[in-house]
Amino acid sequence: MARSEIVVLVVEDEPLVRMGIVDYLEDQGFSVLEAAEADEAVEILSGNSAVQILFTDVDMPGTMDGLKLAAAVRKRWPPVKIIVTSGHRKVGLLDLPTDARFLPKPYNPDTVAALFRACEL
Amino acid sequence: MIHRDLPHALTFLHGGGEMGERIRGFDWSTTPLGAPQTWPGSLRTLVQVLLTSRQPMFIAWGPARTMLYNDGYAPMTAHRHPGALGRPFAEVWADIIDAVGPIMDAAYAGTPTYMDDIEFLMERDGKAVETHFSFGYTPVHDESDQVAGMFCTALEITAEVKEAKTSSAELERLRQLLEQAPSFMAVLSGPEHVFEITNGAYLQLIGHRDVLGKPVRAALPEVAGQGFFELLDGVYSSGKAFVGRALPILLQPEPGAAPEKHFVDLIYQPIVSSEGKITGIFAQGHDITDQKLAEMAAAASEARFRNLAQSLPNHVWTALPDGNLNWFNDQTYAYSGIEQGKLDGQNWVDMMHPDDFAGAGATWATALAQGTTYKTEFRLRRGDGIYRWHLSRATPILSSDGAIEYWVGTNTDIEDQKSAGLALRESEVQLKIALGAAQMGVWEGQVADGRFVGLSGDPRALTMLGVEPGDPSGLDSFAKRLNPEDRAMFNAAATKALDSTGDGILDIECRITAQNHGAERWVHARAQAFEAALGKRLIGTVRDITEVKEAEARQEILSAELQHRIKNTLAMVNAIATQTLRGDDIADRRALFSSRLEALANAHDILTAKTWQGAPMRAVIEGALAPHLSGGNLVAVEGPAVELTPKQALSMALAIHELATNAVKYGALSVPGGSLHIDWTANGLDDLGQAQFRFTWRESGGPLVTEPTRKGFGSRLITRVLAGDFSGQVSIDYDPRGIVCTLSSAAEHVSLRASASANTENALH
Repeated sequence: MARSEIVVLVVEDEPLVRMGIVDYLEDQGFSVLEAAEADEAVEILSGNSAVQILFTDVDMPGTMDGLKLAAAVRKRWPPVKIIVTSGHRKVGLLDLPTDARFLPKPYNPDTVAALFRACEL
Repeated sequence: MIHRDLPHALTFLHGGGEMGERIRGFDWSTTPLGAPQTWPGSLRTLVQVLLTSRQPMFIAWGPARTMLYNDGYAPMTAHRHPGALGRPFAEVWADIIDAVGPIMDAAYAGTPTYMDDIEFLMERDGKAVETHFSFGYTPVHDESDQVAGMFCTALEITAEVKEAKTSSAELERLRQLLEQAPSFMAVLSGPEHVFEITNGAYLQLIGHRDVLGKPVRAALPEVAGQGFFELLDGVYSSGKAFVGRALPILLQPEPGAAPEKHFVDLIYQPIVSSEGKITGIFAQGHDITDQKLAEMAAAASEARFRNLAQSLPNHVWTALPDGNLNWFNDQTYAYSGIEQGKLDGQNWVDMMHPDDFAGAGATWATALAQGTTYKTEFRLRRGDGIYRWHLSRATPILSSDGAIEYWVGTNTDIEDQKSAGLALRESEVQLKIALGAAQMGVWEGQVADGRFVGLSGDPRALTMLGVEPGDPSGLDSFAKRLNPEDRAMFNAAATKALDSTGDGILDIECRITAQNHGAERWVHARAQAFEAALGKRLIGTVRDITEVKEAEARQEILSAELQHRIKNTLAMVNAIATQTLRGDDIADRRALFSSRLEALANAHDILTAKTWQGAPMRAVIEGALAPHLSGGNLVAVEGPAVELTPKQALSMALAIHELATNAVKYGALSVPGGSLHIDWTANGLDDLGQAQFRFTWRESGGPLVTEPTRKGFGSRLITRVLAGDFSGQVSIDYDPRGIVCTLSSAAEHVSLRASASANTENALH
């Protein structure tokens, strides 16, 4: 591959949905890591400095929801681009960390891929 | 008198009856006060006063506030006596220290307190009786001007309180008696003759004006100059009753209206107190305008009579001995709208309501025949066509030889009294029933200088607004119980309602802590503001809307939940679509997509039937298998009753669908005689001895199995999604005899239903 792959971390508690987007992103040439909840995501980020984009759902079980995870990631890994997705509620701009983007669920996988590429242009 | 047993130095302990004995016999050296020989002069003096007085008294002395008391006070301590002697005040009165402690503290800080009318239940003659006392708490300073203790004297005022209560009860009884009396009555008090009581007949006479609490000169200004006030002054100063007959008096039927002439018989009786002092005047009498008119008619010339008749507010008429009416005063014509002189005969009859004619006619015929006074009620048509009730009275005028010369009659408009009375009674009852049915309370807020100064209402409203019984203004307990978060909104709403440029409507929903059990209730209050004599008033209703609010909240949660599920389902459909529709052979993939959605929909049906609380594992598996079974295969499903979470149910349904699709295409279900065995257990143990859930899909009797070279959506779904939703591991074994798929997870991740049916084998085909 000519240019280096974009490394993405997908955090989604619904396995089917996670599998859907992970497989699609892999097909699209992304390097994809996956986590089912926030703590697992933090663990992955701590051990892998290559992650460029965090793509996280909001409603998840565990100690943090996606918004808290986004805030924590913005604080600990400032360069990581953040995209938050949710179907449950309207997420306001004020709920998101600076520079984070919001994508409503269900999303078009093409849109997700395009957004990731735009982030890393 | 010198007490035998006491040394001379302790003469201040002499006397005092039982408590004297106890104080002398007490070992004071065990208390902070020490032996009596060491007591300071001020304490000695007080103890002497205490023991020689019959009035109830006690002393609290020193920093410990040690108590001494006399025989008079002993019954007030009830069961605490005699143990209270020599004990600290705070210990003796521990049960009511919150109430009495501050008064004691004030005395020790140098501030005396006087309390009027404290109620005690005391045992007297073996019976518990209600008693009343006033108390004075006086600080006592020592030689260095510090407060060394306090001295309390009590004065029994039971008799006075009882008398005051009786007299107010008497007054109320009198008021009720007078109210129904046919003659007019009023009680005036003091030299200014202030109205204290008026009855219905009196109010009718003075046109239902609000006179209570007002001096007679201010209440009935039109009477000035007619001599009545002077008569009242005379009765009040002389104490001699006044009796007057047929006194003419001009009274306004309502404020500002032209005075109307009445004739009254009246008595002014001075009210004398038990000390012989004149405290007021009892006025009583009859409105005899009708009789007076008849008398004057008899005595006077026709011209004088008609002159008088025209000055009266009523309709006045005359009739011939045969009963035909032959003259009416101007008021009658003005009322009827009929041209002067045209009422005689049939026109007059036409004025009367047809329904009243027969009754009035019969009464009139009886009066004519017997020569007795005629009195009846009927409706008369006004010029504008409206009927109004009238009271009609007539008296025969006799000639000198005793024969009836003619009749004089009056019709008095009583519509207002009659309809007001009826309407009031009816509307009150209606309102009461309606409010009860609506579970609404009626409340009123009093406002002065833009601030609430009082809150009152019916019991239902007060309960809803959290007003405690005994809260004089009603506001303190309301303010206390109003949720602090709603306070600003309440104030804003009240300010808006009281703004005279607005519509004056107060409409709020707020939370109030209920009186009895601290639960918070939602109430909806709606009121109309209007100007009152002093400041403004808000009158309106209040309704408990807790249940409505709870239903709204439930509805909100439900629709949020529904929204979540729909979005979630769409996301899953989206994922399935993304996975299924990759590649080029779109026709095949469309069919596959549809069958996958069908499996998902099937699992949804099962979940919806259980209101998304969960789904029985068996139902989910059988539902997902059913579309793939065509007969000719042995299929067994067995396992204990397990309740799957919605997520587990959906992924299990999709996994079974994928496995079955594969089995029908390449596996055991693709040939006759192939068999499928599905089972699960929840009581096995894993390698670490932990309880384990284990699910197995086992095919046999099908074509030889070879491991596929490429893992498709199905196997990835099973190994990743199914494993994820059960927090376990999935393995697919491509045994040449038949595919075996195993799911295992810690038993805590599945919930066994408490069902007695330990499911045994259940062959579908």
